[in-house]
Amino acid sequence: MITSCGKDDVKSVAPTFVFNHTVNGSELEKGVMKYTNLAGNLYEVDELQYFISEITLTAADGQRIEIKSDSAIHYIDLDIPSTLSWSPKDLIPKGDYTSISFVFGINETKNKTGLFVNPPERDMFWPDIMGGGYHYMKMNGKWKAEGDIITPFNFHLGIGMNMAGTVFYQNCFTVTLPLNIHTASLGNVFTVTMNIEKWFEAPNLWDWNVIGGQIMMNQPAMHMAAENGVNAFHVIFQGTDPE
Amino acid sequence: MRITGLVNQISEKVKWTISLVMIMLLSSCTHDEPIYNPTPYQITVPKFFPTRMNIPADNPMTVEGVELGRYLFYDGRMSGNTEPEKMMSCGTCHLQSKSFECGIDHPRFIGGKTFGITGILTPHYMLPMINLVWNESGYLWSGSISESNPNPSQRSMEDIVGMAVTAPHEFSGDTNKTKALIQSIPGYPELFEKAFGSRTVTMRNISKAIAQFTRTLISSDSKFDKYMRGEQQLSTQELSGYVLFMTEDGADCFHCHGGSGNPLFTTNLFYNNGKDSVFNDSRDRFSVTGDPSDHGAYKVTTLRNIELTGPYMHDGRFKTLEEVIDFYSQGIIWSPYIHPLMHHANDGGIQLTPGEKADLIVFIKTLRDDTFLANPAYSPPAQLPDGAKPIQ
Repeated sequence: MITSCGKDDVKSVAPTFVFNHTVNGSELEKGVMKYTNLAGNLYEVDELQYFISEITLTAADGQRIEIKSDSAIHYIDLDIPSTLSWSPKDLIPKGDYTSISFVFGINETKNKTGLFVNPPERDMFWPDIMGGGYHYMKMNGKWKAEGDIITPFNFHLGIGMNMAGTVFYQNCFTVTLPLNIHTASLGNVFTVTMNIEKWFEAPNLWDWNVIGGQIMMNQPAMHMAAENGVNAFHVIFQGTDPE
Repeated sequence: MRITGLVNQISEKVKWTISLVMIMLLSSCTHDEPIYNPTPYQITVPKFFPTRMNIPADNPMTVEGVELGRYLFYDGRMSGNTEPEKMMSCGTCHLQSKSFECGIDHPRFIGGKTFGITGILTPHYMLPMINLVWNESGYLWSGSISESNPNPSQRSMEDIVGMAVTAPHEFSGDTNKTKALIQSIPGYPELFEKAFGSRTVTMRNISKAIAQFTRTLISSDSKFDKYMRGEQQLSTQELSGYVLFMTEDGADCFHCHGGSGNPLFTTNLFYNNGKDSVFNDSRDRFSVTGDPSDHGAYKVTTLRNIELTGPYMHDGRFKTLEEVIDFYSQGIIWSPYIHPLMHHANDGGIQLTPGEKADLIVFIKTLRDDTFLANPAYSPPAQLPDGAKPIQ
């Protein structure tokens, strides 16, 4: 028993992923119209729900460790605190890691209607006539439109389609973030932060007054959002070894 | 010494166990008391429906419990009264033919406005009692009856039954009087024993039985269900309505009301859908959460059988489906609390053409489930345990 507790014998560790949401470096304050995006739109965020999947850690030796619990998909909902932390059953080898990546949304193979029949994930479903599967994200809020008119926005991402409904586009994307860490005996918490303002900055300046509040049926807009979303995350690692 | 002691201990245990078995055998041989052995009631989950069900661990579904619950649901003596004019049961207001609401054409509850035995109006209009075994978000328009309610006696469907007995705007009764009356009715003690292992009628077991019956009320065989299962085609007009229902640039109903990916046709969540600009209802969602964004928010209703469940909204302000569609099309009222999914709010609504409105209504009517509405398992029993007729 004592031997097995020795820190030198720990070969695998249990990671925890914590999901955090900020605007301009401060914790998101829901439902308060106090944020201004780069295009000058004053806005608030009322709801935020999204999937990330296929979290993969790349070790210094090039080995790729994918988190596979729960079909490798995790749902995050600001209104459901239990979703803001995920401790999958997977263990990862103790060692040095140089990057972390994940899919924002769900990949084409898995993103099929019927994957989730229970709430809350079920309520992310995306209409079959628009490609089916699930919203990658619902960010619902309001912005002050021209003329100071408070206007709802539904920043929803999912499978896109052309105007004729004959071609579908997978708008999920992979986020890869550098790491320079050594996993420890304790902790091993990866805090994944969504920097919400980044969705509206680059490479595509997001002006709701130009693009409009709803984008589910606007593939060019969803494509722009996906391009911006690649830059919307950063990750911090915390772990400790006993003295 | 220690080994000897252990052997002695084991011997004592063996002797005690043998004695217990003998007592049990003798008891079972000398008495005709039925053994409490209820039959598990299996809910068959319809295709595409949730697999997780809201069944409390302390009230598992049994055939006997459901049978008892059905009797109690339709027994006017649940009010604690035997005089016909003072009797009231769940079935008095919850009519199967109206998807377990009372409907707008009820002969007693004019315009669908319900009231209790003493004439006190119920605070809100009714919600349908369909597919509640999959409701995880609280009961009633505000969702106040949920696990998070600080009052431990107001957390479950079982609790609602007890509340109905005592609420001034419902049975306005006394649980002691009700359970004493039910206890005195021939046939009920035996049914309670089969369902719960005791002939003694308790309010908790009354509540459990009615909740079990209510959880069996499953609608999953509408024309739309058959379409989803590949058994029946929708008409061109119904499909046009379906497209409107499911598209953001159309009527955008699906975000709140479900659809192909959510066959309950409700998220069971709470939204301010733009009916008002002033909010002073003490029973809205805000009254539960204290979150300002919940001012004027109410549970989104299932659209199954919706054509039968008017009047509509928590206050019954719309009498017909046409009025509801007109509201969503041109009658939305902006307020700071309106849910962002009501994205046409600044235009007053989704601006449907008369043809689109007609298409949408035709689609919504594909959600009527005639199998459910006529299911004999949900109907009033021919007679109650003592041979009396159900008095609704």
